[in-house]
Order: sequence, then structure tokens, then C-alpha cells
Amino acid sequence: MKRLPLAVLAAVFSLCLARGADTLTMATEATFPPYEFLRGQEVVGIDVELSRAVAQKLGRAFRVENMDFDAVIPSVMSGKAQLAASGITITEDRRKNVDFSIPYVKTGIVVIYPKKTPFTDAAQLKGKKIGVQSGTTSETHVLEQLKQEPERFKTTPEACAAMLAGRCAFVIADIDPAKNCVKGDDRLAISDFISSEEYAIAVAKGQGELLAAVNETIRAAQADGRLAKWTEAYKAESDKLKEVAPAATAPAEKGALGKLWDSICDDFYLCFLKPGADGSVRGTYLVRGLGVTIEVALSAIVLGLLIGFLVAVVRSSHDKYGYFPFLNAVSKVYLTIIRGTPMVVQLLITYYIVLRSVESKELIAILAFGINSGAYQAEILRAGITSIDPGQMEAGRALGLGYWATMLRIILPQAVRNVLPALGNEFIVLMKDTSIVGYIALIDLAKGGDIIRSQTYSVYLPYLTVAAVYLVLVMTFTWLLGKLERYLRNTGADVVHNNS
Amino acid sequence: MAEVLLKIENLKKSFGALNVLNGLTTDIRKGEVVVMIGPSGGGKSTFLRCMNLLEQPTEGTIVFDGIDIVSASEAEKNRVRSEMGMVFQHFNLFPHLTILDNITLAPRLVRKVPKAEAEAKAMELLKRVGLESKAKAYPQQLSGGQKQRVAIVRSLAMEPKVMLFDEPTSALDPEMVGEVLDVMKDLAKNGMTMVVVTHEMRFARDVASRVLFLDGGRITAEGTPDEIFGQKHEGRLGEFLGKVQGEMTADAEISATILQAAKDGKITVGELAKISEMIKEKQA
Repeated sequence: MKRLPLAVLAAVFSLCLARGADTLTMATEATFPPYEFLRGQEVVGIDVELSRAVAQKLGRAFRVENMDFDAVIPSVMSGKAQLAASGITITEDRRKNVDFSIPYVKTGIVVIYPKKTPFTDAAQLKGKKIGVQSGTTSETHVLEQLKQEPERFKTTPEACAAMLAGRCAFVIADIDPAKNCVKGDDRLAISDFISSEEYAIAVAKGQGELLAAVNETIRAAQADGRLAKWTEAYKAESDKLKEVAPAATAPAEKGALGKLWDSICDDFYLCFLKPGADGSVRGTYLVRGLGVTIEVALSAIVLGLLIGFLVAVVRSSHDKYGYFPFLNAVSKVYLTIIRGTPMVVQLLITYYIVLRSVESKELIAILAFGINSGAYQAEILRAGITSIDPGQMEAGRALGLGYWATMLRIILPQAVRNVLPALGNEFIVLMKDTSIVGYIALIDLAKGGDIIRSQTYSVYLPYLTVAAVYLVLVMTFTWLLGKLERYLRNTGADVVHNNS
Repeated sequence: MAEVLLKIENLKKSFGALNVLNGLTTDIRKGEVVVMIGPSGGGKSTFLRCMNLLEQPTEGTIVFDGIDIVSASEAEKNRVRSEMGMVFQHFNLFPHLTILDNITLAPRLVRKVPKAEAEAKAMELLKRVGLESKAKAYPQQLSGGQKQRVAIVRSLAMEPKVMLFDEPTSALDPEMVGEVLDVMKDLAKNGMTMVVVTHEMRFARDVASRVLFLDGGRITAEGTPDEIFGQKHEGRLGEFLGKVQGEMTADAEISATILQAAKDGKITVGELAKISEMIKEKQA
């Protein structure tokens, strides 16, 4: 275990206190080349260079926070970040919530269409299923101009993949991601601008000084050609990044199975072994993601056990002996709230509201999952405690042990043994539930697979591999629990009656 | 007269509207073996459980070691309990611990006795009850009689000033009652102060120094075994004794007949087991 629970709490407080006010944080979703994309583990791109230049101008440290696009603007509003730079289009709605810099790019949205069904006329869009990246102007365009519900996807490539799979007729997207999608896929083409727009950097309302610095930086970068230079360099890099599996040029004598095997091998190389821009192979996303998944899951299990023990003891003590009326009331509220709201919502509330000043996303995830799991573990453990014969407590007390000593040494060990299968089940659910940490931009196993998919446009291998790794993880855990269960069973309780 | 260990005055206990103890007063003296008898529901067990505060009395005082333990602090009550042993009807051994750990848990946790010392003491006590070979076994591997002997040893390991027995043989198969009573007799002989709730009238007659008859939450009769068992009584006590002694004689006659039949080969071992099963059911 990397962190002891107490150390976790200490870390929360120290992070709250030590939160550097002088770091300039840029919020972005790094799936929008050339403006922002992942080079290995690092976020790079035009927006990053621009924001870094702002930080340099202000003499502040600089860091990039990678998150879902939907979260970028809320994060500057909540103060988690100071700059939102993620190819953000200026809109009136957004202006109500944030202040925009002068635009640094004029761009627009286009229609991506399959060459089989060319797009020639805007009227073609009416009534069709239109794929968009959720939270983008393309989505607003469909809603407001076409007056219809778009098919929302997390990224544009995802929307394109869905279109090729026949799930929507067209995709509307910003010009650059659209170009990126079409490149290397000769089944796709793009239209002229159907609406044009301007990208700007967003800051929280009332940050006049910061806004002025951003504007000056943009003007300077446009004037001295840095912006053009960055654009060229990152376009080139992102073009290189977008690798397409070599077309299956299998010799004709190979059978269908042979071809399939070859394409799987190519796909495998592309997804996991091909070195990225920083020299590390793509599979690294999965390996690091697995590390995060295990770290978050195990720490949350331990934290949940601690909370669970405490709450279960309080609740069952109150039910049986009327002890701890106040703590019991608190526990009941805790159980009701945690079990009555979705895990994702709890995670987002922890991230955006409760622990907004905490930098470490691992820590936030551990706390959110630990607190959530604690509620379920508490009820499982309470059932275990209730199942123990009251004579055990009496025997302990009659020997002079205090209430807590009896609880810890006599009741709980037996209770845990009785509920171990149910507890193990909760651990497995928790382990798999951690796959939603992508919501707070933590790269775990699931998100790692998602990133590989977004870079390679290969769907099957990344997701199937992620599924297989989870399966192995859960099976290993189940096996360990089984061993523990057998070990505990052999110490007493269920041994065959033996009167030798 | 020996010094008073427990001075109990006007002890009352009610569960809600139900008054179980209605003002009990008695002294338990050092070295005494006090046996409590009486019809079920008479308050014997509740009285015993009030003595070590497993039940908090509603009213009254119990003076132990010079202080009133009824109104003592929680820490003080824990200390008092550690100086009174208690043996339960259903043994209440800790199933997740070995016999040795069952016995050494309290001395080590409460008295801070070093492990080696606690274990040596436990082994010595186990030897006294003939169970030293079971030290590493778990409670489930023991018979009822063995479990109860271990439970007695577990209490003795705390070197209590008084031992409370709550129907220690009621949950046992008839053939195992003897081994437990023998251990208790041995304790009594060695001067242990004991308070025993039991239905074993023979044990009461042979071992008790004083017999209390509890009925309706009151001590309605009290005396030496001779005074209680050696005379005819009127009222509830007479009724009660007539019933249990009648049963005892009848049971003894039946057992003798059955055993003789088994010896003569008239009934098989299987049938014998069936009969003892039926007797157990009847007792339950």
C-alpha cells in the first residue's frame, strides 16, 4: 500500500494549505490536435505554447490539466484552473460565464461525410442523425440551426467511427479535427465551412489583469510569427501522430483467416507497441493506467474498510445497546446520502466542490471511492456484527475487556469471517467502478484504452484488451479472497466436529 | 465468620414494565458456595448477571472491594468484572481462537501478563481439568463438557475473587454433566467463592454451603442444604422441591432400567442413542 489512510488525510490538509497560488493552470482536453494533444504523457500543442507564454509573461509556474472538454470552462469558473484553452469557440452563452481573450484563430465547422453518400447541400442535414463532439459548437449548431437533437460523442473521431458504422449520417466538427479525421481514411471527406467561428482563451470573470496579459501575448505571438511557427510544427507532429494501420496488403494466397490474423497483428503493433512522439510505446498508457486503477482501488478499499468498521460498530452498538446516539444519526445521514446518489455524481462533487483545492486527482478519487465504498461495507459489516451471538460480547465483558476491546478482538474477527464473500463482492464492484475516474481526467486503465483508441482510431483491440485486463485483475482478486476464506475457515468455526 | 465479598442490598431490576428482581438482599462471604434454585422466571440468572453488572440493576447497591459497583464508572466496572469469573450455560467460547488463546486473551489484554507467562499458567490450569492436549484445538473440535471445562479455566486464568456459574450444565448431554460438576466440586474444595445457578439438586445438596430459593424476584427461602433439602416445606418451595426431586427419582429409575436393558443386549446402541436424543428434546 502506497499510502496509509492517515497519511491520506494529512496529505489532503497539507495540499489544501500548500496550494500554490502562483501556479498558472491551463484547463484543456488534449484530444484536439494540433491545439492540444498527448505526446506520450505530456500535453502539447498550440494552446499549450500560447498559455505557457502567458505564464512566462506573468512570471508564474505553469501546468496543464487534462480533462473532459465539458469540464474545461467549469474549471476556470470554479478556480481549479486559470486559463481555459482548448480550441474554445467564442459564443454568447459562454460569454455569460467567462471572459474571452481576443481570438487567436479563425476557424469554422464543417461537415464530415462518407464518400459513398456525398454532402453537397445543407438541406441534406435536415432530419438526419448528425454526430458531434458533445460540448462543442458543432453540437450547438445542430441544436440551434438545424433544430434537432444531435448524436453526442465524447470526441470527433468517435463520431466518425460511429458514422462509418452507420450509426449517424454525417458528422459536424471543427475544421482541424475534421481534417485530422479525414486524413488517412479515404472513406471520409469534408465540406466547406458551414459556419465559421473564432477560438479564444477563456478566463474567469473579473480577471482583468490576466485577460490583458493573455491578449498581449496573443498579439505578440501573431506579430512575431511564433503562432504561425507553432501551428506549422504541431500540425506536422499531429499528422505524424495520426498513424493508420498499414492497409492489409496480404498476398492473395492467404486465406480469410490469415488476413484477419495479419490485421490483428498490425493493429496490435499500432495500438500497443508503436513508439509515440516521446519514444514510449502506446501500451504504456495501459500499464500506467493499470497502476492508477490498482492504486485507487486498493487505497479506497482500505479507506472504505476503516469507515465501514466505524460506522458498522456505531450503528450496531446503537441498535443493540443504545450507545452513540449522535454518531448513529450522523452515520444514518451518511449512509442515506452515499447510497442514494450515483457514484459519478459523488466523484464530480468531490472534484469540483468539496476538494476543489486538492491537486492530486488520485487522492480525490481515493477519497471519493473510499467514502462511497465505506457506506456499503458498513452495512455488510453491520450484518456480520448482528449475526454474532450476544453471548460473545457478554463473555468478553465478563472477562473484564472493555466494549471496544471486545468488539475489536472478539466480535469483528468473527463478523468479518461471516461476511467475507459479500465484502469481496463489494471490493470487486469497487475495483471496476474506478473505471469512471476518467470523468475527473485521471488516466486509469479504462481511460488509457480510450486514449489509445482516440489516437489510433482502432476500436476493438484497445477496449477488448482493457476488458481482459480488468477480468484478470478481478479473477486474481477473487482467487486471493478464496484463499483467505479457506484460511479463516480452517481456524475454527466450520471444522468438522471431532471428539478425538 | 469469613469476610463479606459481595454485600447486596435491596437489588431491583426491571425490563420496561416487567419487574424481574424485587429487592434482593444477601451477603456472599469468602469461601462460600451459594447455590440458587427456584422455578424458571424466578430471577436467578438475572440476579447472577447483576452481580457482575452484565445487567445494570435498576435500584439497590452491591458493595465489592469497599465500593458500590452499581454506581461505579465504566472503567471501574471493567475492573470489577475482571475480578469476577463467569461461566455461561452455552460456554460462549470464542470460536475464532484456539483453546490456549481463549484462555490467555483476557490476562494478556486486561492484566498485561506477558505471553509466555500467560500460556504457562493456562497450560497448568488445562492440566488441572485434564485438557492440556487440547491447547491448540479450536472450540468446535471439543465436546460440550470439554468446552465448559475450558470456559471455567478461561475464567480462572484471571484469578477471580468469586466465580459465578449460570446453569453451567443445562446445555450438556447427560453423560457430560459429571465431568463439569467434578471440576466445580474441586474448585469448591480449594476454597473458591462461588455463586451457582443450577438445577442439579444433588450438587446443591453435596457442595453448597448455603442455598437460596428465588421465586418472583425475591429470596423466599434460604438455608443450609440440610435445612432446604432435609425437611418438608410448605408452599412454593415445597412444591418446587417435590417436583424436581420426584423427577430426579423417576429419571434415575428410568436410566437404570434402560442401562440394564442395554447391558442385557435387549436394546442396541443405536436405540440407546435415540432414547438419549428423546430425553434431550424433552429437557429442551
